Amino acid sequence: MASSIENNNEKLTLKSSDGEEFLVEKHVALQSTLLQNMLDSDCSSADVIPLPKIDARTLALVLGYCKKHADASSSKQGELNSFDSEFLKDMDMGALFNLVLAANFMEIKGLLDIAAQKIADTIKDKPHQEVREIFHVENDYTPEEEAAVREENRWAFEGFP
Amino acid sequence: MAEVLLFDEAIRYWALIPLAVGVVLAGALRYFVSDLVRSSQSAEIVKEGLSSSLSLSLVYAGELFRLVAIRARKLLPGENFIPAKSFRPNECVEMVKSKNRVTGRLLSVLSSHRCLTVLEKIVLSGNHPEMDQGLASSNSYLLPEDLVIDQILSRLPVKSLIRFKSVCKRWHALPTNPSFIASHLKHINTPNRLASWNGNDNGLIVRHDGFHVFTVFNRTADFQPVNLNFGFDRKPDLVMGPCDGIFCLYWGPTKYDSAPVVPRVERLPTIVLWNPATRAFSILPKSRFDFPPYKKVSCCLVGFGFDLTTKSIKVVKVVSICTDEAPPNDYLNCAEVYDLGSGSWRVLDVDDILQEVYVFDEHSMYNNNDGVFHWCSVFRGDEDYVEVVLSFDMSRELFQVTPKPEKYNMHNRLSNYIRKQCLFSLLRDSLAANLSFFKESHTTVELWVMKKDSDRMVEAGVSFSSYSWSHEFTVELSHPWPCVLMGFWSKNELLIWKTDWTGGTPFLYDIVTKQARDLQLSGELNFLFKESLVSVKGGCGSDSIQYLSICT
Repeated sequence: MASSIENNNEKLTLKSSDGEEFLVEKHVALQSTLLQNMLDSDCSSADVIPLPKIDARTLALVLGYCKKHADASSSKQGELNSFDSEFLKDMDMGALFNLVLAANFMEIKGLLDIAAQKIADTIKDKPHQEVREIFHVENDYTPEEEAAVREENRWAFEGFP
Repeated sequence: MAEVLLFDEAIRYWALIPLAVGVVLAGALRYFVSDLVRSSQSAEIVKEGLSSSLSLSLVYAGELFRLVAIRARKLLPGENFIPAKSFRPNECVEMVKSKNRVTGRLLSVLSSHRCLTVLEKIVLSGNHPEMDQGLASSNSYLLPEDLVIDQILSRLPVKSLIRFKSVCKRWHALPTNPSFIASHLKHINTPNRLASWNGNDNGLIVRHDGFHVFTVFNRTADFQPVNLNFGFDRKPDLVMGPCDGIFCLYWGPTKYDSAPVVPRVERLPTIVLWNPATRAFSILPKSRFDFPPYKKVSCCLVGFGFDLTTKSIKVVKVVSICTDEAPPNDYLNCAEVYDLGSGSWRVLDVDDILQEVYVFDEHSMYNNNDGVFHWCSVFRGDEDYVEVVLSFDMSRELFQVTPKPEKYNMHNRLSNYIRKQCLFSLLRDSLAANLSFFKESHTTVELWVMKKDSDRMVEAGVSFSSYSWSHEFTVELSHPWPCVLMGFWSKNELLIWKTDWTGGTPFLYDIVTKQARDLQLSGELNFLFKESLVSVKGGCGSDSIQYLSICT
């Protein structure tokens, strides 16, 4: 018990892409496999760990998630689930994209799962033209080809204009 | 004089032409020099403009820088995997470009990473708190394509994926791409689909893989019924599965087939693999046993399951073929396996133990999630006939015979056949024998679960199995019908399926108060399944390799 308190007091500094620094308890940072591997390979952890791919706003969200999950005991799964759904509630697509990028880069599987699932749930009933815009996908069909593909899979378009 | 000058050859070659060339070169030089001078000037102005924000025209430059910086910050992390086209300026930048030559010039240098970094630094040195809002509202965020496919699209329902084939050609190929199918299988965790016949969703009872989870279908639940009717004129006699979102449907031969004019080979069932999510189905090819060199096929058992070793879906068929010999050698039991990976039937070498088993047209067949399939059967023992469970291990391709619980077979010797019945159900991924013993208007149901003894390995050809039975419950009921204990409905209440003339009705039984309660429901047991993109078409050649690779 004493040793775990000792560990909890250890802190790391993470630096976002826009230069903001975040002081994080080690057990919170360990939610990230990337940071875990960094700490494992280099015991004399550097003073400041730069995260050049994550901006301050996103990093603050990510660390909020990590803190909640690191502090909660495993018996409180229900509480964590409601935290997760509350955490992503009302978040816009841009913020979700940033979270997916950050969670993928920092290797936080739980966060990647819930953020990606939230995006999937949001787009699953959207028309394909809108999905194209959301992901900036270029339409490489000719109008005739596109009509043919749609005709082939007509059953999946039930209820879509 | 002029004529002399013009026509003097020496002047023409040594003065006029060099002069003309010189003028052209000077003009070109002047153009480039002025060009260079102008651009360095504008850069100076831009820097000034950022610090002072005075000049109106430079508001555009500032706007451009803001966008550039946002894009730079978004794009730099992805410099290794973002395609070049992502660097294309968006509409907003183009608008600025048309209004201001300076910004147009700056755009032309944007493709260089160094410039992006420099611009980012310049702009970020001033603080722009509105930047993130601009980012969120301008839809200018981007995710790398691989991340979109692996993490987001692989979590979509099959129907959405089929619809999104219209997005672009790359997305069109996804639902048939083996590695995408595998990643989709891994991500879709919640079964939210219900398979039923003719879309009847009134008061159906949903069977879940587990022992404890049972729920009544109601319209508020997030279950989407899938219709089992897809062109066949009658309901399949058996629905097996699901395995990775695939069902195996079985149509037995119709009663008319037993008329002597109909060739006996038609006694073999029609077997179909069906993926309700993609709506694909394929009728399994005819096998050697459809054209036997023997007189007639008497019976056929079919099993369906997942080979946990090769990660492949298999169908097994046990066929009893009549021979001309006198009993007890008047039939020959053969077996063959269809592997979805190879797309063809393969005849198995069966050992003697299978010849001691009587094969019936058995409509109660049980699929086990541990890769073993079970049928009810009768074994011809040394002294007596023993009621057994015939099991087929999908990966070892091995048959095993396990006698029904001793208590049940003991009653055989008391020649009390009418007073008992054995039905099976799946509980906690194990086969469970539901032994009903009747006494006047009273039924005692005992539930025995078949458990694997891990230290009792069975070698091919060795009779009797690595399974043993363990008694779980006894339920006393005040009616004379055989029952199947389906599992726990709530903490103390068992869901029991009463099999009667009408096919069956469910009711609940409280194990503490020993009271039965009508569920006020009618309908059939249905299947909850986890949808998948897995193909039902058997592979051949390279296809089979693809199929095997998707499952690893």
